[in-house]
Amino acid sequence: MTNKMKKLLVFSLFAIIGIGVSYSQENKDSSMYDSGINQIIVPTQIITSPTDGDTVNTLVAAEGQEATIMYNNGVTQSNEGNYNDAIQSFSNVIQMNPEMAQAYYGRGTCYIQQRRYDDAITDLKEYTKRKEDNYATYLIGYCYFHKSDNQTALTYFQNAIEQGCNNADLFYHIGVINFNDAKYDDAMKYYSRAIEIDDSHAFSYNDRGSTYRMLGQLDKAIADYSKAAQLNPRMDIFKANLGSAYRLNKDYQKAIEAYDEVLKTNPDNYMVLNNKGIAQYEMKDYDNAIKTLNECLNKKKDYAYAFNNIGLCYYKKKEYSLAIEAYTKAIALNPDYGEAYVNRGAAKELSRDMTGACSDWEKAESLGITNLHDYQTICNEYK
Amino acid sequence: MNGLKLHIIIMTLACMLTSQISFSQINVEINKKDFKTEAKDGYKEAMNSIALGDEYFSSYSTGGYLRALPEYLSANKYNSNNAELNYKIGVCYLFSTEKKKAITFLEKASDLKTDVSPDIKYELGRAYQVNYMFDEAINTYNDFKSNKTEIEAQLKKFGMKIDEFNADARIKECENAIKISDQAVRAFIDNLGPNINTQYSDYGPVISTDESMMIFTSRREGSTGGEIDADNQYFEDLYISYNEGKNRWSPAMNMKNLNTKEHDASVGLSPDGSILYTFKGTPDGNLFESKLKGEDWSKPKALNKNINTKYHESSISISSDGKILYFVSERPKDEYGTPSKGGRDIFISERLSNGEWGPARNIGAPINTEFDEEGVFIHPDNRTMYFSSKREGSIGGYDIFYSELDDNGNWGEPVNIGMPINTPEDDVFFIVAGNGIYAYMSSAREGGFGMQDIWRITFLGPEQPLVAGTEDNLIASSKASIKAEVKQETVEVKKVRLTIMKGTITDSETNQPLESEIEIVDLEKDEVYATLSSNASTGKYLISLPSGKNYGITAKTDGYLFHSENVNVPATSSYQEIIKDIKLKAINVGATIVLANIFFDFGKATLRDLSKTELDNLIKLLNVDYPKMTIEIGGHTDNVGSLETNTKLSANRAKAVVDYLIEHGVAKERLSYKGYAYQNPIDTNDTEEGRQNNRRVEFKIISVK
Repeated sequence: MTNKMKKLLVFSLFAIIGIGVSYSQENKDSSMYDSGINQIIVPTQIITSPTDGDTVNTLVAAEGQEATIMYNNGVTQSNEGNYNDAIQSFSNVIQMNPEMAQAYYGRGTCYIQQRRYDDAITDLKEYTKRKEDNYATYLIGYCYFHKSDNQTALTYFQNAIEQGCNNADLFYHIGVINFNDAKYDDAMKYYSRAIEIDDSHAFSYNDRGSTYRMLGQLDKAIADYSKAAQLNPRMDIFKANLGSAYRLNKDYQKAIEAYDEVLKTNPDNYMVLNNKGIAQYEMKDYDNAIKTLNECLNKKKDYAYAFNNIGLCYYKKKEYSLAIEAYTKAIALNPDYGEAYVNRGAAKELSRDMTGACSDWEKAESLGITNLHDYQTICNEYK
Repeated sequence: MNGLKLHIIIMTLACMLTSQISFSQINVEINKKDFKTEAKDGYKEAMNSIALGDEYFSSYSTGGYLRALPEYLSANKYNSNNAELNYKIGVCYLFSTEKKKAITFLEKASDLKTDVSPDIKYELGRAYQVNYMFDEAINTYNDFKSNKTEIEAQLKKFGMKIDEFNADARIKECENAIKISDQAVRAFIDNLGPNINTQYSDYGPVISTDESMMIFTSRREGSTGGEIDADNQYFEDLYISYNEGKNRWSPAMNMKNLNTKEHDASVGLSPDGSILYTFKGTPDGNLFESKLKGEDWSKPKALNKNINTKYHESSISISSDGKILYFVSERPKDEYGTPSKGGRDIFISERLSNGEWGPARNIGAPINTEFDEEGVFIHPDNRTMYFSSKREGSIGGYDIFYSELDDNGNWGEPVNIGMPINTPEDDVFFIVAGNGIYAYMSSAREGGFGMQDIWRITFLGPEQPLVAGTEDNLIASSKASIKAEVKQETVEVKKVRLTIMKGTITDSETNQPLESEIEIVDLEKDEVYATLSSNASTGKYLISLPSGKNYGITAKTDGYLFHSENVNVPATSSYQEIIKDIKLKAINVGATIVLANIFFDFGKATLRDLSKTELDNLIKLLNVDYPKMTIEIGGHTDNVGSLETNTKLSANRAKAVVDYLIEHGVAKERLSYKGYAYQNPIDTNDTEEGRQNNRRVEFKIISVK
């Protein structure tokens, strides 16, 4: 296989799945990310698998020059992000030669780009019927992962491992599934394995940091988030998580510094503004916290958390009526916001409205808040 | 006039419980010549005011300072830039409810003349301290210390020594305050209002466990004898007020039959409100008791020599079972030879079988220390002791501490109850209601009517866990944000483990109140827990029952059938109030009574040991009180099961009682029994509580003869 041919088989697959080694900010499909901390992530790791040097030759032998041109065009279109054109080209090739495994693979990856996971799974399965490829097996698992069918995803991931796949992304995704299932010890194991395979796997550092955070090991979380941010300084999520880890570790100054780093490049990040406001609140810098939280509300006016947190600041300032007003706004935006009822109850209590306080705490309990201290004793006194 | 240190021994309760060091005893002279200004008018009047003010000031007492204050303020209108006058006004304000003004005047005095008085820095430090400006206070006390030699020389002129100003102790108090300022107790502190408080000193509240009645000490106008003591206040009198609900108290009434021309102060009240303990300062500080009989309080009688000695005794509290007396004494050793820890200590005395108080024993460490302990109060749960102490950890003078008794009978390390209950001044007289939610204390805090006032504290319990709303994208590849979990520390909430049972005892026919002896028995131990009486005039009674016992309660009045109740209070049971009005039945043929403390094994007719007390009461009634009485024992069940089964069970249980009585000497022919099964229910059978009431043993008088 010539170099030119290898080049034709290049796929920017990780642009779809958001994992890999290095990233740019050139993603054409920004809708896949919600606003907030996540930036548009375009991993540019280039993979050459499947790298069957005979593919094009086989194609040439079977269908002649036209099919070759069609296949190469599919690859080119795919690399340029023109997935519909690429899919058409690969479909034409498949029509010419239904046994052409590489065309299924190419089309399948384009479907992944378009989040047509069912179609992608069908094509990738057609491909793996014709060729054993542990990476393609992983990709099938990846599609199931995105369909939220974690059990099937794990089966394919496991198969990929058995087939010899030793890819950091594979282990990373198993880590994610375990994390989401709150199996933090297992998640830790897989993230660590991914890092072992690729010690520049920033996503794994970030997620392992989150795992440490959930386990309350904040020093380790901070170390991992720092490493992730160092590996990819342009990923705001890493810095935002670093800020939150510092905040939880009660190092509020460093937390604010980390949040400010994010806000330098993304001043509209309302979640980071909210978290910065909390850090200021924890530092008892209530006036600046209120300022930051109002800034957050300028970015997202219906953000109930920010109203709740403004309420906390006023509560600590002993301005109970303003606190109650803020909590009431949070509750209006989210009537099931149990914590806001707890907080508002506390403000009402100190403004001597015990009836209101008791009513709020009862409501909070009805919304599933379970960690309230005994309030019935005192409330009974006011009935 | 040069300042003279006057030594006036005023044996009032308030005086005894106050840190003497807090009284400034330097009466700096206001030089007439220096005081004169260019103003034509007002000089003479101002000087007259100063002279009168100085007279009051020189009593070195709260009353004196507060009487001096308006005089000085009047003079200050003529000349507000006199250092000495500003100093004196500042000192007077320290004893008022407007303590912030003390800072203004003392700062100005210091600015006008740095050596206006040798203790200016000390007093200014006090002003900062009582106004919670602890950093400033520490700096100012340090300034005072730094000029030791010079100040010592100046103090000599006033006959004083620098040791009388313990700046190091004050600094330590400020440091303690800073340390605990983040752990403030969550509480509302409300003034009890004009029905209780006056512009004069009102303090030393004592309450019944259910807060239905309060007795306190007041030095208001109209005190018995109407005279003013050397400390420029009226003599102490006892006042009483009744709770009208929702923190409303009836207008306080002078307890005329108890008050004398001398000082009469309240220091303790039995939990049921039937025994009042008072303090009399003369000759050496002794404790007295007065009992409520009907509507009258008996003449205060000094407690015996195990309690009162030639040394000073001041405060007192009695356990809810009436068996242990806690009190404060300055005696150097207890009756067992154990030396005191130092100063005033807390002692206990147990009631002897003859009803007298036994030899006093020093309660020892960790309660007592080398510092003074005062104002002891034992909560009716008999497990929590509140007291005041100047020990390490105080934020100023006496602070209120509490200690809890563990299951092995050991008192735990005392804990400072914290701010805002404790203040940088003396905090004594602290009592807690049975429910543990409310407490009462007296202090001269801002917002009062003047001098000491009585305040009600509402404990709010721990702050609810406040939760910030936050979210983070924890997973790099996941678009969904994750709401971060906020972990709350577990806060152990202290619960009062106490049951109060209260009500009235009356004649079932006439509804007339009855004075009845109430015997409370620990059924597990078969021993009398406490004995008390209902009030002859009202029939009211109040029983405090700490959790962890199965109580048999029997009300007995001559000529009436005894009435029994069973109150089982598990160890984990928190505060509850049971209202139970008891109607006693006169001894008449046909009268029946439920024997509430007869217990059988489940589904059987075997008497359990717990029944012994009740059966013994019955035996006494039949063998001692009415030896010719004949009775029928009736067994009753609920409606669970067949009539046949229940008839058999109820008859067998009645027979078991009869057998027991016969075994214990009651003639067989005086006894009969019958099983009624569920045919005479006294309650519904639709609820467990109702069914439980229906399962009972009764006895009925067949003849009395």
